[in-house]
Amino acid sequence: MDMKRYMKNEKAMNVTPKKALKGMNKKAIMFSLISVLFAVLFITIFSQKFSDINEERLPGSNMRIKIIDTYIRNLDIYIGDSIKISTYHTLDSITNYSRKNGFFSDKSAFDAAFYNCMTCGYVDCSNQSAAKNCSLDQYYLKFRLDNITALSLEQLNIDTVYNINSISITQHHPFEVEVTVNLSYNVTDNSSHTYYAHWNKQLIITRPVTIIGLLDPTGYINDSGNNYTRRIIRYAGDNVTAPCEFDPSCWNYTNTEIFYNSKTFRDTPTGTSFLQRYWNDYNQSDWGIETILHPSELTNPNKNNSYIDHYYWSGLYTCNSGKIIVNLTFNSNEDIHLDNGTATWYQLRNNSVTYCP
Amino acid sequence: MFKSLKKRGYYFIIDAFIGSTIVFLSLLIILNGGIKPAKIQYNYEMAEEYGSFILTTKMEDLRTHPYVNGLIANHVINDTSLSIMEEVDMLYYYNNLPDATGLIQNLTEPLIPQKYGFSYSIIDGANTTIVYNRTTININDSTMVIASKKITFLQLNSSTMFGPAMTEIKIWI
Repeated sequence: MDMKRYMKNEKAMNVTPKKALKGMNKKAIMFSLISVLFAVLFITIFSQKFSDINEERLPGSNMRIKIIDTYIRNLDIYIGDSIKISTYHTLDSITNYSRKNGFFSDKSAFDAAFYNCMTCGYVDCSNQSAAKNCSLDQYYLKFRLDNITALSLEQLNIDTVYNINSISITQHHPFEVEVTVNLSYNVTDNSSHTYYAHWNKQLIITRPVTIIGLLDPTGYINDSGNNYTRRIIRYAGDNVTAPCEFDPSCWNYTNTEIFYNSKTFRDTPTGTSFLQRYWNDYNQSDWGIETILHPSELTNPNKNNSYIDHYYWSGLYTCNSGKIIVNLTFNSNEDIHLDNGTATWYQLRNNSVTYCP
Repeated sequence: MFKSLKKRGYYFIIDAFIGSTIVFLSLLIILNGGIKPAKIQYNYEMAEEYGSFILTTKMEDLRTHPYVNGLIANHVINDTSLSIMEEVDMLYYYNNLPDATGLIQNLTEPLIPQKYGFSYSIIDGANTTIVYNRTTININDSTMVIASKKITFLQLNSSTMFGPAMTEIKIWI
């Protein structure tokens, strides 16, 4: 036995059992600590993987959430498109309704009728009689929204509950109206018996709606024999340039004749706006439009009147009201009557003769 | 006495260490099994992803695609701001089913592997129109059919709107 081993044995011989156990416990603690460290290390390394695993363990609910998210994004676009389509049809239907029932008393009466037509398809939602029917068929807003909610429930098992809080219509452009709908909806997954996810949203959607192609309310409602059926067509429409579109000083006999024959409307601050025409308001508007009426489209045209549409229907530009009416003919040989102010503005005074007084 | 105590201590520690290792390895093996999505889930995701591609990709982003470019040149496609799904709706609405079929076929071939059957249908009320149907495998012989449905609609002009209808994409294997 070498010296070292001898010394070690000697040392061991002098150690009591208690002391020996204490020494071993220390070593055991060291090993335990190392094993705990290993455990922590494993957990740290794989914790990310564990969370991924947990996510992957819920493919059904993840998929449903993705599907409902896509549906909601589509729903918002659909609501916007439906507002445009419904507004367009509602305006024409209100014009038709007014031909039978007369002009609205003021803007608020028109607004109420517009809201009711959009939400229930009747001018008065509390009186859904044939006489109050807007005749919108499948085009009123609620019908369109009910369509998509029924389809989503039937085909996608998505439950949508919505409420139209308000609808307003304004005009800030001669050939467009603006419709704002305040709407709230709640979307839930109907396939789930547990209430794990739902979408609550309040939307204020504003959409511009063109008036091009709509009936001109003033003439359509006013013309006693129901001959007048002119629709709004813009003078110099999209991608078309027309004489004097941007230069009012260029009007003359030739250019006015082109405008007259086109049966179109041009924007002018002396005219009345499209919406004003529903409550027979002839005040000038920044979004005013005007056209020259053809006597052939009027029932018993009044020759003592100016054929500028908003003047004609207002009845304020007649010889009886002290205005000078001039007479001229265009190449169509139609006998045109204009008030002196308009004839001067269109530079037609030299081509016309005084008709009255 | 010291020797037996020493041995018991070592055995105890090694045993604990081996035990914990086994527990961890077992956990890893069990949980790793969940990382790979199930086959059905993978197929469903493929159908959904394809649906999203059709729904969100605009025709103007596909100008370099020879078939799409041809349709634009021939004025079949006039509004390139429409998505693929909207363009198919438009072609369907105006009864131009051959071009709708061609469009879906040409855009789908590189995206959906040949081993899958595939169909694209428009469900408009009570009518179901199959726009494109790839029957490399007969759907009746398939072991699994995955269907992804999306609501579709399109404002065609100021007074006309197509939809809401359903677009159904089926993938089977």
